[in-house]
Amino acid sequence: MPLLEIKNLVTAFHTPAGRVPAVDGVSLSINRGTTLGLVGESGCGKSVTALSILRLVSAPGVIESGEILLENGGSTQNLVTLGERELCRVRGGRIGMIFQEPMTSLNPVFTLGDQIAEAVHLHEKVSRAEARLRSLEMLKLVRMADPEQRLHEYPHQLSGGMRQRVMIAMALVCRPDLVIADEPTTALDVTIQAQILDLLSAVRKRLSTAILLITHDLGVVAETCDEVAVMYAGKIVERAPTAELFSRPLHPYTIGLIAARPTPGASRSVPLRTIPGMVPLPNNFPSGCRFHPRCAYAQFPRCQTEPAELREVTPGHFVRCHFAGELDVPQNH
Amino acid sequence: MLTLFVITWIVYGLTRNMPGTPLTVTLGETDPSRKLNPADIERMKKAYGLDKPWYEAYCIWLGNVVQGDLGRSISRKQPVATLIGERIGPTLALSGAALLLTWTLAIPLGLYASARSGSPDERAVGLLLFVLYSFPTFVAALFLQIIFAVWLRGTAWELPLFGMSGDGVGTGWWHRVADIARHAILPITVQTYGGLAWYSRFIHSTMEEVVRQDYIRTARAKGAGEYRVLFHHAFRNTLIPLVTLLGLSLPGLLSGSVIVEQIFTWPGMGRLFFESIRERDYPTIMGLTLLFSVLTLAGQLLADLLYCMVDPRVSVDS
Ligand SMILES: Nc1ncnc2c1ncn2[C@@H]1O[C@H](COP(=O)(O)OP(=O)(O)OP(=O)(O)O)[C@@H](O)[C@H]1O
Ligand SMILES: [Mg+2]
Repeated sequence: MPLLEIKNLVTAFHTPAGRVPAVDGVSLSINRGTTLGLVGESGCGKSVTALSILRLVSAPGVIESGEILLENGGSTQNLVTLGERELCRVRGGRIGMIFQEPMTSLNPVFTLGDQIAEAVHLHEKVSRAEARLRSLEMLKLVRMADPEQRLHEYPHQLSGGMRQRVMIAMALVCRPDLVIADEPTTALDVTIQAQILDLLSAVRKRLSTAILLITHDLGVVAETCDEVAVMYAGKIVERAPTAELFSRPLHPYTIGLIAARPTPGASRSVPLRTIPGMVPLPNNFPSGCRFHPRCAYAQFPRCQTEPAELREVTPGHFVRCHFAGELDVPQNH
Repeated sequence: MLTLFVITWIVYGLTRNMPGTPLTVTLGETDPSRKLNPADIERMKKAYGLDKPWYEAYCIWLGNVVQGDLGRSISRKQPVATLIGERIGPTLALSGAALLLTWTLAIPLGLYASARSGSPDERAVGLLLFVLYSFPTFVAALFLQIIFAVWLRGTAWELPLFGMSGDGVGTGWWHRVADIARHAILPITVQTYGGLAWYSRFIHSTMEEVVRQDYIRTARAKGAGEYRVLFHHAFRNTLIPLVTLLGLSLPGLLSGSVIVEQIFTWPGMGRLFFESIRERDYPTIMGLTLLFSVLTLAGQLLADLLYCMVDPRVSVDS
């Protein structure tokens, strides 16, 4: 049984200009202790997917349909329909979350020690001293210099990289089974990015936490993930184990992404914007296969009129393309 | 210091250049038959120093102030310090009670509206506050006066129309206190009401702003319940602009509300100020101006201090 399974999730924003289906039928699954990478261009719905898992999408966004099943001692609980109290127990307790914006994600008026300790108090009956000890332990685990002193400091006294370490410490202090890391390094310097990613994988090994790692960056995915899901225009277009995906990409979009990837050795933070054409916006998705206006292999009229379904082309390798496996594509290896 | 100097200098110049003098206004207007003859006016002008140009008079006034002398009121024939001393108590009682009441009501109201954000409750509270807010103080005062002093006359609910104390109350301090309290109910209500709508709307809108911040999402993500998110994480941040406001409301505590004191003939500072302007009573105007300026500056200092206490990003030395 997977730790977390998302089935046909639809999350839409009801704006005055109309319904905006930012996530439009996403299915994913994550096994215990593994890392799943979720990649895709800016605006394809990665953050909304992540926020939907913990029901943190703020109005006017609503989860319209789908199931988010979290394994819970042999049975599963559906986070979409879970009651408020149970949900609070999952948030921070079983699933921790790290956000894209370290500079604004910590409360400016509380000390770091208080903020980490709060996470402990919210989920476990422990004394103040015990919570403090746990916070200190976490700060050491995320390799903060002077952890004792940091406990009494405020967020504004730290750099972005330091704050992201605190966020990681806070997300992990209750030993969750899953950590959702939404582009945890996008806002940071390149050198700090590498440190934070190394830290995440080290911590994962220590605590055997599963990670949903959202990123723009295929280089990061290749290094850290067991499995990869590629998202395009609110849908998953391809899903496969990392090695399989990189050696045998089947969706034209994935092929484009991998081809556009900077060669190893070059800076690994180049964003994925090198496929010709524009990312479609959720209020105006193309008909048929949503990638067809940018696809070099599109065949008309089929790709324009008939939506493609996610198919398992080889075991464990899912692709949303009418011609998956039939395209004459130059392979990487 | 420089600020005080500039403020008093400007106010002195303005008041002295208003049409009319204490002598013409007090005597001439109230009773034309008692118009003074020109020789008397000249003599009195000399006595009060009104024959000198205003900037010269200002320097003399300033010199006296530095020595701790605020001068004597022209129209009331009393030292200004004594006058202020008499009026400060009633004003402090009235506006202190009103301020306390405003804050103790505004904070729960603003928070309630935020907690019920988006529900019909919130809209009802919001609408009510808006109506209150756009309803002028003096109209509200009139309504209350009609209800409690006219319609309810003769019942146990009757409240005095104006003044601070009535005649024929029993002896003993508790009778006097009870009497003053009865007189104070309407003025306090009216003065509270004006600020209440404004403060709760301020708290509500600040909360709305804070709730959209990333760190509120973080608080939810770590499992904090809705009430903890609002009252612990969000309110603590809303407090930052709020304490600034509290500091800035300090001068109002002593200056009182001119409108409320005038309507209810409450013997306070606001009324004194209003009357001294009407009577062109320069020494009193200047004494009050000086006091209010000092208080405003003190309020700002207090606001800064409180600000440092609630916002760790600001340090005391900056
Ligand atoms: N509050 C909102 N109101 C309306 N539409 C929204 C709102 N928030 C997000 N969206 C829509 O959802 C889409 C997906 O947004 P999301 O933040 O998930 O993108 P993303 O894949 O995380 O991009 P990035 O890589 O830039 O973080 C956006 O294109 C946007 O149009
Ligand atoms: Mg995002």
